[in-house]
Formats: sequence, C-alpha cells, structure tokens
Amino acid sequence: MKTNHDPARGAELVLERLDTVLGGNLILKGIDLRIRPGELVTIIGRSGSGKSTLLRVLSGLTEPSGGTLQVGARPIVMFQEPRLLPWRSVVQNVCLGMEHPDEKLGAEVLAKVGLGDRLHDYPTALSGGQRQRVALARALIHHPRLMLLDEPLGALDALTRIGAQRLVESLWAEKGFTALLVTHDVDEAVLLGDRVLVLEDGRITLDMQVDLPRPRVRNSPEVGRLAAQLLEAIFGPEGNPDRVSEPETAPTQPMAAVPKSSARDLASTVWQISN
Amino acid sequence: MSSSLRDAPARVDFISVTPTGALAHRVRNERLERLKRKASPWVAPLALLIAWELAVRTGLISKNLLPAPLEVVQAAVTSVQTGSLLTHLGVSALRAGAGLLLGSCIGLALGLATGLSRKLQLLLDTPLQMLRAVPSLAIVPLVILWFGLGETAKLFVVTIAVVFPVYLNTFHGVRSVDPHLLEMARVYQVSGFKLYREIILPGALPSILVGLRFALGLSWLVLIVAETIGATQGLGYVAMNAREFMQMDVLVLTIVLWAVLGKVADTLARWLEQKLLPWQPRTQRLSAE
Repeated sequence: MKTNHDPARGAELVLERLDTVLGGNLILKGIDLRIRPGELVTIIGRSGSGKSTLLRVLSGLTEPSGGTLQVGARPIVMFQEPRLLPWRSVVQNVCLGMEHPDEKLGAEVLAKVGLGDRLHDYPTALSGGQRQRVALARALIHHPRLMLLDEPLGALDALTRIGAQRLVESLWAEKGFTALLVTHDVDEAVLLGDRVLVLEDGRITLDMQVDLPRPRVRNSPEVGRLAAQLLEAIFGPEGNPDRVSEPETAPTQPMAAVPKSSARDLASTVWQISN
Repeated sequence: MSSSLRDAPARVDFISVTPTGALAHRVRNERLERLKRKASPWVAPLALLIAWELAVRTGLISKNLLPAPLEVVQAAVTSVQTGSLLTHLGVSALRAGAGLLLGSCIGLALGLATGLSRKLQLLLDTPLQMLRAVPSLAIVPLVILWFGLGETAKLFVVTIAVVFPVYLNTFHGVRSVDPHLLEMARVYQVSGFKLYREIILPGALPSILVGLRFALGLSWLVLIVAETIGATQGLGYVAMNAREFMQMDVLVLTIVLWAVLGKVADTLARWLEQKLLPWQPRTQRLSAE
C-alpha cells in the first residue's frame, strides 16, 4: 500500500495539560499529546477511561476545562452509530453538510465507498455496514484534514468490519488526512495505527509506535506480539483480575492476548484469502 | 408410432395443466382474501342497517322514534335535489377547514416556539395547559358576548379547540428529535433555518401529523357546538332545525353525515401521512395506527 502523506493534507494536533470536567468529575487529567500531520493514531482503553471524551473535546462537542488545545483543521467526526437522516435519501445524506449540495459529487464519493448504486434509497433500506459507509462518504465529501473516528466499526459484524477497516485504511493512505480512531479492539488498534495510545483513568499511560509495514497481516507474529504488549499495558503483566471491571474484554490469563475467538479466526482467514 | 403420438400430447397436457390449475386456484384464493380484508370493516355497519330496516318495517321500532334507513336515504336524495344539503355541507366544511387551518398554524407556531426554547416553555406552557382544560362548551356564552352570533364566533370556537392537540404534539415532536442527529448537525455545521428544514421539522413531523389527525376529527366535533350559535346555515343548523320540526329522517341523516365525514377526515389524514412520511417503513406506520 502506497502511503501518500502530504503534510498540507493532514492537520496537526497539539494538546497541552488538557483537563476536562464532566458532571463534576475530572475525566481527562492533564493530557499532553502531539499528533503529526497525516498520522493515523489509534486510541484504546477500557470504558470510562475517557477516550470518547477526548474525541468529543477534539471535535468541539465538549468544552475542555483547562489546558490548551490546537486543532489544525475543522474536524469531521464519525460516530459509533451512522447518524443518518432517515427522511433523506442516501445521496442527500451525504450532501447534508455542504453549503451548496452537489449530488453529482455525492454520487462520486458514494461510488468510492461502494454504494454508487444505492443513491436514492432511504437509509432504512441499507444494512448496518452500508449505513456506516454512507456516513464515511458524508465525511469524505468535505475533504477532511482531520478525521475523528469514535468506534465507528464497533457495532459491525466481524466480516463487515474487516472490509470497513481496509476501506478506512486505504482512504487514509490515499487522502493523507490525520486520523484518530477510538477502538476497543486491540488487534484493530495495532493493525491500523501508526501509533497506539492507551488511555487509562483520563491519562495516557502508553504511547506505542507501530513500525510494521503496511498492509499488516492479521494474526501475524508481529501484530500478535504488539497486541499482547498492549493488553499487558492495560491489565498489568498478570492480567490482574482485581483491576478488571469489564468481564467481556478482560482476559483472565496473559494467554488471552492470542486471538482465540472463532469469529476472529474466520475473519482473519478471509483477510488472507482476499489479500 | 401412432400410439406414441397420441400419448405425447396427453402427457404434455397432464404436466402443463395441473400447475396452472393450482396457480389459478391460489390466485383466486388471494383475490378472495383481499376482498375479505377490504369488506370486513363494512360488515358490521351493513348488518346493523339491515337489522334496523327490518325492525322499523316490522313495527318493532316506532317510525316516530326512528325512521327506516331507506327513509333517511330518501331524505338525503330530496335535500340533494333541492340543493340545500350540499350548501349546508359546504358551509360547514368551510368553517371546519378555516378553523383547522388557523388553529393548526397557531398550534404549530406555539409548539415550535416552546419546543425550541426553554424560556418560552416556562413562560407559555402553564397558561396553555390551563386553557386546554377549559371545555369548548364553557366558552360559548363568552364568545357570543364577544363576537355576537356571526361567523367570527364559530371560527373562534373551532380554532381554540384545534390549537391544543397540534400544539401538544408539535412540542412533543420537537423535543423528541434524536439528540444524536442534532450533534451530528453541529459537526457538519448545519444550523439556523437549514437545521429546522433538514432535521427538526422532519424529525417532529410524525408527531405533528398525529396532532393534525386529532385536530381534524375535533374540528368537526366542535363545529356542531359552534353551529348552535345562531346559525342559519351549516350541518349543525340543519340538525337543530330538524329537531324543532320533528323531522326524524333529516335528523338521522345529519348524524349519519357526521359519521361519514369523520371517516373521510381520518382517511385524508392517513393519506397525508403516507405522502409526507415516505421514509417510514409501511409496517411501522401500520403499527402506529
């Protein structure tokens, strides 16, 4: 995969001692972070760690309560849900934010995400993965220099998700925007990120550079090793059960770093075949 | 050779006819099912009419108390022929329509205003709720003193009655617009008039239409009250007049007409709903009814 990083395309992000209070609680505690133009950074952390709040602050939906924040360009957000207007057609949804809606351009962008034949359908007629692709097209039409992705792939089934991951990665490589992707999937974080940040209790506890060449191979030993390191950073070397608050994501043994679930096996098989 | 030639068409017939027969049977069955579905709402009213006709004819019910359906039909034909019925209907429809239009606009404006602004909600909601609790009949004497016996009084009564269902449902609709969509709109810098047109109004529309449907029914109901205020025209007037002169057939005719008009109004509202909410899956719409 050819990466085509034009610094002018991607925006820079600088956070210094950023605090955020929500409902009387300090959610983000003195975050220092510099993200280079065109970087793809994945953020991982348990729920309640503040990762969604961080994204909301960067997108301007939540006001920070302290510190400084420099966002180099207007951020475009992709939410966990597609958030399409049910009363507008697919192409109208894509053109929603444009000052002068241009359905021809909308159709072009939709073709890029593989939905060129569904322009005039209502979103209710689409599958979950297709809706999320419409949301992606809606974001892309603005030529974003900064994309904030708040677990947009989290609700998709394993196979759809792999397709969506590859789509996001290839669009990022092509367009060169800066991207922050929040995820709860350790493998996804390693597969997609130039850098992986671990957020815990409102602080960045690990900032890991991922220097593997792209495209990265799912289940390869390198990816597995980094994923294991990440899990260790999140749960401690023993995967200490006392610190575990979320049983569904918590490994009870360090072994859990190795992908085990059948869905993931199936998914990786498809990935290799289609490669 | 000849025997095989004779056999062949027979076999072909056997193969081709049977499925066609089964298919035709199924098609007939489906048509019958559809007919049944369409006819079933009318079975009970029709049965009632027949029973009623028989009861009057056999003398089970006195003619002085209740005229037979055919007499009512006769009365309808006569008044259509003299042209008076259509005139009265037209006058009533005009009153209901004008009141509906005016009341809906006021209700919509109030609902949008209170739905979008907490300050206006605090200011306006309580007085509106108090006004809503006043029955239309209770304000009639006051309305007569204010506006006399003319059209204004009738329009006022219908308008007031229509305002509240539209207001309440619009307010509710605006407040129940998906906050996720509003947040998305902020990200894409959709604001001002465009925000109303693209998100708030369409989001509130299903609820507004429910209010309009209530209002449509209510406007006809209130009209009969309004048309007792010194009217010389209109369906309410015809009913009052028929009572004065003991014209039982005309009196029953007006009652039947209310029923028919109510049904027409409801059908109109549903049609409007289908036209304006094409994005809603049909099943969803049916379950809402």
